[in-house]
Amino acid sequence: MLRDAGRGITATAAMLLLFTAFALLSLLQALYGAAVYERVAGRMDDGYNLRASLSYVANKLHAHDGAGGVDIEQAEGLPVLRLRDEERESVTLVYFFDGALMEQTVEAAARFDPGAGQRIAELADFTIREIEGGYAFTAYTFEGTMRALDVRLRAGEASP
Amino acid sequence: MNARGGYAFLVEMTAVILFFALAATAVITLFVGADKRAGEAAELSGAILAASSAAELVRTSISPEADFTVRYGAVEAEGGYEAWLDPSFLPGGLQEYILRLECERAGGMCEMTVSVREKDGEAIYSLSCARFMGGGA
Repeated sequence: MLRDAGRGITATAAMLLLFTAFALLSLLQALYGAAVYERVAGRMDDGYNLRASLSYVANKLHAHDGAGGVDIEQAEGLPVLRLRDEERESVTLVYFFDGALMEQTVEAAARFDPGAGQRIAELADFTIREIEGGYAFTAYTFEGTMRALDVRLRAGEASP
Repeated sequence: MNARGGYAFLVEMTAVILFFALAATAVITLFVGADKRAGEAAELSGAILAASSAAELVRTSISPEADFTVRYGAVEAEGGYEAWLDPSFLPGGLQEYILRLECERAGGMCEMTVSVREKDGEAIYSLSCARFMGGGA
């Protein structure tokens, strides 16, 4: 009788131990899965924002690559990439403002309002710099990744 | 009866735990695979941008090898020019990736291949471009 009771307690304890192990393993797996998912999603966001911003400005620059079609100027305290269309009636402005790469198409003589642009990609920072024969762009994501892209103008010869 | 029932339940739970362990192994393998793929995708993306930047330079240059050497601090290696890139795919700093330029001149054309490689030489991304240098063969 006592032996049966002892076995019952041992079996119950073993079951509880198994349950606990099961619960702990489930929790660990869920935590690990969440951490991996967060990392993968973060990398995807990083990749998207970097590729979107840098490829976008590179394509825009090539599209407006012509004699005097592209320049950089300071407007409202921001470095702004100015892309003129063929007829010179409007100008596309590309700049970094309020945590995003922005684009805005305005009449050539219109007043520049940075907040009125369209957000292209969410970034921690985006720099535009003139280099010999083209422009250098650097994008920084909120995850801390940095990528750079140099774009050379083809309308004119790059300096050797 | 109770002890027999408890024993049966114990065996069942052990089977459940074993099944869970197998399932968990499979799921964790998938997680690790996804993480690895995401890392490779990020690396490929960086390599594409680095190779594009270098290609932009050499295909608009009248002396691609010289400009490549100056811009990236490249040295001649195995019939081409090689430079080190850091983990952000920028020249200088930590030596993480290799940026390589190969040029072949024929009939006034300069056919170029820009590639980004791992330290061990394994290619991550390769880009071909050309420039007419004039003169002809």
